Amino acid sequence: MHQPANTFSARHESRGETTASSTGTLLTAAGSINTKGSYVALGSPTSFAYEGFTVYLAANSIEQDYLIDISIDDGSGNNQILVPDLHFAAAKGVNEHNFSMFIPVHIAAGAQIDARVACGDASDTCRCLIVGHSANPGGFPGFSRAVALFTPTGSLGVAIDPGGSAHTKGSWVQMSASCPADVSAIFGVAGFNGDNSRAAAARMMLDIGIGSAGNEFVLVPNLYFGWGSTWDGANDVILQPIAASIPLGSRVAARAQCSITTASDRTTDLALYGLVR
Amino acid sequence: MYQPGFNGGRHESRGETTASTNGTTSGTGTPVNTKGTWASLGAATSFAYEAITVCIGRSLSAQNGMIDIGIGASNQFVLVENLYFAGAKLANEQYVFIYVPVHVPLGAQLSTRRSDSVGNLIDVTVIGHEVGLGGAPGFSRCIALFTPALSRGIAVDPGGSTNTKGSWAQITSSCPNDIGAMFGLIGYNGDTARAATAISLIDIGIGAAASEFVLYPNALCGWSTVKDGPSNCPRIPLFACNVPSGTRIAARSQCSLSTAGDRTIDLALYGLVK
Repeated sequence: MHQPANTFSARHESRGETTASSTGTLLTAAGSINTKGSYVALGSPTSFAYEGFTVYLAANSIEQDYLIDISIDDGSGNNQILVPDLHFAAAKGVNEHNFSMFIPVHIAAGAQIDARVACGDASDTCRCLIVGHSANPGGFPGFSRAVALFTPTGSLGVAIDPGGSAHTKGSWVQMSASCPADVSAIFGVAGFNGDNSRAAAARMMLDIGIGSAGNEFVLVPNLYFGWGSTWDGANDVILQPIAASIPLGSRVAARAQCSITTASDRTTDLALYGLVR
Repeated sequence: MYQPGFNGGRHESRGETTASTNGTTSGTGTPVNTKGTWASLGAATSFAYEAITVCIGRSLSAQNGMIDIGIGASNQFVLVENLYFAGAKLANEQYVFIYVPVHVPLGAQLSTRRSDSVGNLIDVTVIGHEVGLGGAPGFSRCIALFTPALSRGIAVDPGGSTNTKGSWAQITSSCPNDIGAMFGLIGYNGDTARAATAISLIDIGIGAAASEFVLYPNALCGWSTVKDGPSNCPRIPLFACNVPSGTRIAARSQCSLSTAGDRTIDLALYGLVK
């Protein structure tokens, strides 16, 4: 039996900080919308092996959605993506949003960590830094990588529309027809689905399910969140990693219920990720 | 060596009110900034949890709240202490999920209460996880490593020199237990009249005054003028550590802005106990 963790001393180091301006590394999207820009190094190579890291994103230059890849550069311009399409949903306000996500993925000592971004607006920017951890809470080793359990729509996740009946779970929406690997944990981000003209506050409960269409099983029930009309979307609603078994090939889906019925105003977008052994 | 496995486990929610898409309104006290009575979060747990995700939101005004999660039908044991919900300037705009790897027995009754700077509504639900991340068993409890004032965390002022780490602010003079992991939540320190955008880097340190060691460097956090404070996601997510009982814990920051008040955040820091 694995025992908890309480004597797992851990070192932590940051990569990508720009202390001269109290920020992270500038990531710039490509000149074409929804297209990844060039990789940018997040500081110097790691000074020890990480079993996990925390990604910080901030300073969005526009009210838009961003997708960030975190990768390892092999030194020859080849990047192995460790975390694909991390969704930074910046909603309506410039500079008002923050993102911090713990991702228990192993990175070797001496590795160069890079990042790149796509945005729904051409050439827009955000800032990124990473804090690496030599041990994880509980002492478990890092996973090999994260995989996206969705196909982005532009720079959004997958729209989850609860439908026209308030307080009633809507139809299941497919996130992934076939989980690309055996997944042992999941994490996710809910956004505003590109709608920045919402008229009313709303509350939502969202289920994550697995199984074929019409036979979905609720894996994680009733994630509770909401939004008002100023921010127009789910604001920094970030599901940190939780243990969840999803076998290779499984269909993954989500559904929601909402307190309002106004089309579009009731819809969120969900970006879901799996952690692979 | 323990290896991460194919060990997902079950998940269940407690405290949801599906008929109105609400959580459970946590009990607040009178006067403000005092803890209220406990409110049950749905039915007793149907299996043992090794971790929970606490969902907090639906604040009807700009307000700060400190939320306890307890277990027991009466004489509640405080399982998670003073979770900080910084509602900033706008009603209904803040929601947060907080992953807390604590053990909850099968058949336990979960409940919630809070203190609050205004006394308005804040809702809570809990999602229980049968298996901890990576298969790790849950900790025994989660303690606040700070003493709340006005239902806030500890003010961390970077000082008047931009982009320069300020003085260490003491979070606790003596960590009350051996701690195996920490996380932090950041707020706007009650300042709803900020005039400019800012961004900051925050360090967590341990050690005696003037001899602090940086345990966790450069957590990134920014804000602008609409919400007047950092968005309230778990701004410093869970991280492993080994901080012995009795250790002094502190924090410092640097900021792109030097305006007094506007440059300051407040930090609520938590420890997971063996």
